[in-house]
Amino acid sequence: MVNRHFPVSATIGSGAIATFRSIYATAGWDVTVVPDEIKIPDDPSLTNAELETLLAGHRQPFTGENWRLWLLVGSSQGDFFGIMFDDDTVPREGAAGFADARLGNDTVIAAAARNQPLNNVPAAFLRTLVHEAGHAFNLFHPKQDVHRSVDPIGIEIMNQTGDVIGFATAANPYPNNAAFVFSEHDRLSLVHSPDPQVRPGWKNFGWGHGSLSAGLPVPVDVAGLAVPGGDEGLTLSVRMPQQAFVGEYITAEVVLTNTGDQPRHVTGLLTLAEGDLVFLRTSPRGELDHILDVAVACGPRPMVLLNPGESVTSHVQVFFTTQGVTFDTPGRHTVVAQLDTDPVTTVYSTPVTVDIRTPASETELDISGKTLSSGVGRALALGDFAKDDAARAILTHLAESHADTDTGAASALVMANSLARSFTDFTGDTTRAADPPESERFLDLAVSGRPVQRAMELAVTVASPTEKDAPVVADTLARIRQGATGTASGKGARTARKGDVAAAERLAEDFASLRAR
Amino acid sequence: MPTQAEPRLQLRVDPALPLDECLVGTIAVQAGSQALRVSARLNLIEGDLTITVTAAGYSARCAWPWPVDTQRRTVDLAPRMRLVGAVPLLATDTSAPLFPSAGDYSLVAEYDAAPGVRLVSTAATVRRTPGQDGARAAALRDRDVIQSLLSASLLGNAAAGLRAVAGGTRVTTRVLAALALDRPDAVVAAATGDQAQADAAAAIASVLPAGVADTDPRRARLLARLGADGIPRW
Repeated sequence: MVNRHFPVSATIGSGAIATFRSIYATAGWDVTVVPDEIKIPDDPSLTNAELETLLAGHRQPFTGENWRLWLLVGSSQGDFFGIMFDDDTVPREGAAGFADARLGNDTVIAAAARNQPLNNVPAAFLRTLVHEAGHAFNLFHPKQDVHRSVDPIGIEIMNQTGDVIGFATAANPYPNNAAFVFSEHDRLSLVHSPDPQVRPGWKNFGWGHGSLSAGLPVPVDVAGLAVPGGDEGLTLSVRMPQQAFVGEYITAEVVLTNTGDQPRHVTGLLTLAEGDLVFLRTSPRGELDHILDVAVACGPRPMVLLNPGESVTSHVQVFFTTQGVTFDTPGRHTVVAQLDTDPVTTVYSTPVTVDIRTPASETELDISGKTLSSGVGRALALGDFAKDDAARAILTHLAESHADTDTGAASALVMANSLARSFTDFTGDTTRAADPPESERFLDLAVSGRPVQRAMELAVTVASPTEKDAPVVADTLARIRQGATGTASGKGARTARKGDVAAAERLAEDFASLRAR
Repeated sequence: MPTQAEPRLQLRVDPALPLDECLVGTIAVQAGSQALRVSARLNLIEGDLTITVTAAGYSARCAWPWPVDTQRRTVDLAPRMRLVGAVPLLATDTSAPLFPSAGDYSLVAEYDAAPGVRLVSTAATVRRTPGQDGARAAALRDRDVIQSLLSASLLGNAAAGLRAVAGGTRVTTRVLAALALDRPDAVVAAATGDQAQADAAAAIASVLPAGVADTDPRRARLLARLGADGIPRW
């Protein structure tokens, strides 16, 4: 509707960027949002009849196996934030969020959101739109779900905004306190419930979680990490350190190989930030969770032609993810990589184990004591300390004191990346200027004495996978090339052999755009 | 006289009603001996209130068929004060007829009065007797008619059915149909006499409740013409 805006992305309480796609990706869904009709005439108040008429007029025919849902970014209906209004004979194809509805003026509402229409609060509006779409997928408010848990209200997506606000405080106000994920029950329903229950246009609202066929058993994941057959022609593998200490910077190598005898087109998004790849981690407590990057992008899926015998390889950081510090619990963690190689094919890796131990030396104690903060974690995940001066100080210390460790080198690379470019804080209207000499100093710390391939691996994992032009990748590669030609700065960079340089170049190329090799 | 210590949820319905008429109940949260802050969302629409209807071999949930996302609204009740609302007892949460056949039904309301506080009413009972008008009874089993009555608007192919419902003998039946057909004069015409005005106001409040439909011009205009304040009589 004119003058109302779909929240394409929003910064949520964790500091991560959330999108409609990224939130559904946490439930394993591949969702694409297409804002199309943006000139629906203004109407300050919408009745259900008007909403149904709008849906009938704007619904477009479609064919194929993809599902369709029409979301209206509308004006208002009373004080509602949103409604899933479509429950006729072809039900659940339409839902609406109301951009004009205003948040309250309480202290538990974030100051910038107080008394503001949802149109001005992207995180709150995005939450409501994802919530209403959830109803269109036959999810209920947890407190009304026939499978109601012992905690009928919470802060996940399908709770009403009012209930989420009930958990907010002045120190942790709404929408910062909202969890932009589905509860485990709703996630399982999105994954496992029968298609007719979930797919828009099929069974009426109420099927499964309400009065209709409520006798269906609660959907569950298969116990443990039993891996389905996947695709016989594709093999996915993940390599991680077998052991690490709490707080240590950890990366993973992911390889997809065509082991069949036919060429295959596979996704080129072998990162944890774009929805195709997710790590399923079982913690020492036996809990299963999904590991994704803190920055999740939404965009087209580039495909890569993988001839028989060829592979694509990527390196990802798993130190700080949607789970916070991913491996903060000592004990054995089991990780399975799950990759949607195309819209209809999902492959899984063989499980790998990572034994996490407590720090065992003064160096490890120092590192562990400094990296377990969300500010440092976020900087390592995003490749930039932004305006977090405390994180900057810690990263500087780690880089200067422990550059011989992966964690120290990763910290140095974050500093090099951050200082190679300017950074503008639009909320504070301040700009952090680039500092090329300091950036080079930190780059030296990271590269000096380190095998060039590992230095490059760290550089491509420190750079946010959504920032293909992150300076740290090109700068590290340039420094490695200088070492190979004897033009290094003379600060101890290990002389690179020709083969090492070629490997580093491949890593940089794959970071920018995955290639079959 | 004993003092009621705890807050209480009460549901009142007509003891008997033919199946070709619309049943509107009255619901109240009453504070006990202590002041109480409760959800002000005492209506079917916003999701804090549900009513379970049972009979021999039958159980259904009465709730709003269109889930909405809203903020919390609370109200402070002084000791022994009541918050009163009205509730349309027409359909299940899946837009099926709430009372599928003649017989005796038991109704129990549940209200999420505050986070972690769910009040449950004692059972109210209603005897639904066979309808006198076949067309009207059939209309009240039609999904489009049911959804139109609840939404106070004309949905789908409900027009003919709503006209049949508008001929009901009860005030609440005629008022709900007139709202859906957008006939304000018919609403007012149905409310002649003190009890009829109270019934009409309750019917309006059941589908256009305070706090939800405050900005709906029909609510204010109709209540003004009825000389009612929008608070159902208890």
